[in-house]
Amino acid sequence: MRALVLRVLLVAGLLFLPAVLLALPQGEYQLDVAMTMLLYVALALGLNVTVGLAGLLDLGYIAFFGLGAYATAILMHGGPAQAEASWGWSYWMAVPAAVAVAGLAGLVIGLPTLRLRGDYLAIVTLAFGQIAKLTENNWDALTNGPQGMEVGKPILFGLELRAGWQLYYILLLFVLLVWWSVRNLNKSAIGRAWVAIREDEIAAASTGVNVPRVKLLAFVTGAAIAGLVGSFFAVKQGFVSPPSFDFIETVTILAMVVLGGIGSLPGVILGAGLLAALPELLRSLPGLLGLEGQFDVTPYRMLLYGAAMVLMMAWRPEGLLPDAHRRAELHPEDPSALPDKTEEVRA
Amino acid sequence: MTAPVLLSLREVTRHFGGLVAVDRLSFDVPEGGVFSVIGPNGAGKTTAFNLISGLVPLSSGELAFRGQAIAGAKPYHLAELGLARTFQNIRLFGGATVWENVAIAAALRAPTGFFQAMWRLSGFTESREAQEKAALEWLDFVGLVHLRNELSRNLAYGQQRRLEIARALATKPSLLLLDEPAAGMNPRETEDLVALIGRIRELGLTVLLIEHDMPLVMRLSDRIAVMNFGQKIAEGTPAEVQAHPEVIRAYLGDGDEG
Amino acid sequence: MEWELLAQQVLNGLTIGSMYALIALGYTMVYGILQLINFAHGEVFMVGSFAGLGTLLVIEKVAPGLSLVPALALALVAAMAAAAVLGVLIERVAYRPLRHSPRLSLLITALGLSILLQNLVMLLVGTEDRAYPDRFTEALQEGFDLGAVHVAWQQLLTLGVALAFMAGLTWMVQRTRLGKAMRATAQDPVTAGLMGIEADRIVALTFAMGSALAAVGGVLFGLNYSINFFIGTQAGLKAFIAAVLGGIGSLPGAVVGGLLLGLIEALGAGYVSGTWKDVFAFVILAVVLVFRPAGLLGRTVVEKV
Repeated sequence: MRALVLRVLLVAGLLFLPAVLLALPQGEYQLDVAMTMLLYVALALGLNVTVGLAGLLDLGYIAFFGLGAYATAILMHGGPAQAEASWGWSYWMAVPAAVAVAGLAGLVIGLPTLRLRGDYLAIVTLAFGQIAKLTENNWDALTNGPQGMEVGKPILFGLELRAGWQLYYILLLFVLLVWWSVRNLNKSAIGRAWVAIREDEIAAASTGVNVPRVKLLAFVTGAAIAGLVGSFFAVKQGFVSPPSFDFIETVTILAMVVLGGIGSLPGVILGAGLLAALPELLRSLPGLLGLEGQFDVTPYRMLLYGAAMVLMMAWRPEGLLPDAHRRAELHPEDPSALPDKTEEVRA
Repeated sequence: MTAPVLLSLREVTRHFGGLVAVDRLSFDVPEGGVFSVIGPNGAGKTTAFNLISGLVPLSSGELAFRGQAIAGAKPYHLAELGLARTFQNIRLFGGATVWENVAIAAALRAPTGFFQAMWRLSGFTESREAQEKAALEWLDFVGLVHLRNELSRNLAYGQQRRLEIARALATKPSLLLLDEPAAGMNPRETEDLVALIGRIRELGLTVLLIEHDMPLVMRLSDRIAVMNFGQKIAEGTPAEVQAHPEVIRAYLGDGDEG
Repeated sequence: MEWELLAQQVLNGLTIGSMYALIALGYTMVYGILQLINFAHGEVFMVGSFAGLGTLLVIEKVAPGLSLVPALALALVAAMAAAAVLGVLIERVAYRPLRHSPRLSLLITALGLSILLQNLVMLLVGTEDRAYPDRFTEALQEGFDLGAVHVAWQQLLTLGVALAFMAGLTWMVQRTRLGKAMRATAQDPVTAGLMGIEADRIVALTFAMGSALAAVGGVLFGLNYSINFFIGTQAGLKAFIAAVLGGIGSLPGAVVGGLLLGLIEALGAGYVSGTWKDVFAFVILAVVLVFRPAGLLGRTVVEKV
């Protein structure tokens, strides 16, 4: 009950957030930071399905995000020719297509790899990330290469959604959809099967869990979520280009998952919120210390992520906010009325 | 001996490098009752189990379940056909609760679809309730229902063994493979186990048992195959096997060296 | 003209392939003994390359008259020592405490370490490309012509040094007591322990040797190309692919895989397209994983039940 109240309050807060932020000084900027945080929350929730719930290390995660973004850009504009927005698909048709493209890519990569030991998946997905970036940079006819492509804004009932707050609500819708879907999966037989393969693959297989299928489901779900968020990223930025989809982004999202708590939904949300806000904090830090423009904080950020991963695994592998789901309890209405097993099986 | 054959092994062989772990092993497990495989340490019993349950591929030979060839089948396909097992070194899903361990197995017979689960589509509640009901029933069957919300890794050793059996039963098998279920148990726990196996056979299941505890095997089994050095050296009723000269030699020889 | 292009590309391929092989050996040795993909191995290679550069720069300052061969030998030894220390440190501080943790924890630690090392080096030396002192690279770029094929001294040196170290490693693993202890530990750590082999020491030694070999690769790389903090990622990935191609866990496999990968890349770049050169390696990885996951010389390993 308390959890429900908390959840309603949280959603209400998120609904009114733009109004509050826009009332603050530098409101547009504040709103933009909030959107970045939400974007990372959605991405981290997706990666958590693959890494956290199923225990599969996906190091090409950001490439699926990139696929979603590029698919959206290309479908909306019919290629890099920068045709009028009216030429291509509407954003609302591009979104499911972007999800499908990313999910399909996940299927193609996962199918041969997931039969093998977990380490191979890490390497193959790392390689996939590199190929994806190479393709984005070099397949000019499709992606316009390093120059990138411009992307129009979504149009709803003839109205072009340009303002930050309008886009915010699209993102919020996506984030809630992702959160709800992942939470449902987590609490279902699918989520339990993921736990089973994470805990003991051999016992899982002997218990009837179709291990390759269940792994593939987790991998493709993560990829599809990344594709969905990518499609939003494309219209929010209004521009897609290869540097947005660097391996560093995968590392960032992985650090969020690890820091918050692998496999824990609240943990991952916390981790994503914290680390997404960190660069903003670090950016303002030199200013606060009177060292404006004296040094670039980006390398320290990556250093911090690397150190965080090593330290968390050594000292607190369950993360800041560990998984509470493992305590999910089962209360039959009337335990004394448990039926006699013998009858049923004999029949 | 008129019961139809449930599981049959024909010349089943497995090499590991130059070592022959299981050597042209043949026997038929009839439907119903308890069939045991015994033998000294390192005789190849557990390897035989791993071959039957699809965890280790055969080097040569044939395996059939209800007359259907199953050599090379994946463990989860075997589970679907009705073959379940426990492990000598218990393999539970330690980070999951007791009831979840069993519910995972129960999902085999009451599966939840992916989209059904993700968006709570129609049919989701039915499958979920069926899984939870089955979990509770089997936990009740092995006497662990009161511990359903504990993490399975926190259970006592004997309880973990029983949970593993409940998990195997929840896949609704017709053949249950028990790999040394009494290992590490005290006499009271062993008695409980004997009673439990008795109730399992009353359900109409066939039990294939590997066990070191000789008195236990002799009490429970309808039929026994004896292995030594990867080969079958004898097969018959408990009385026949106990009187078999090869068996006596194998066990005495083992005792001498030990 | 045709065969000359072919010969040139084969020579280039073998040169880069021998560097892949040196790094791949480290992956395969660690994997053989711990079943762990040491993600940080590529960074050890990078650190080794920088250690070699640092030594040469110091030599230029302190003893600018030192002739080519002793200077390079000194740089090689210093780089190997630095890398070996780093490798042992990584194993001791990051991996050993996690030996009984889930595999995922180890993988994440390895990745975290790799990022940590990369950015540490970047903070120390900056982001721009660095080159080994001209005196060395220019002298080595000379060579001789075999018809239309140009053979540079640096290519011969790279091949020669790499092959010498690989032969040395093979001899050590096959013939010495230490090598036997390593093989025993890889096969069955428990039994090896019962026979008085200290598994911890063997693991540390494996890391030291693998890291030193990566440093040899790093110095040779520095003599052929300019270096930066980022070279470890790409080289590490390629070397890993080489190890998988040859059969991970197999020492001859790593060498064959490395040379083969170098050849395929060079021929692909020469005959198909230079832009997509890096894609060939990944295509090979995909093909191997789908059709022969055990690699060319590897054995399929069944997980113990």
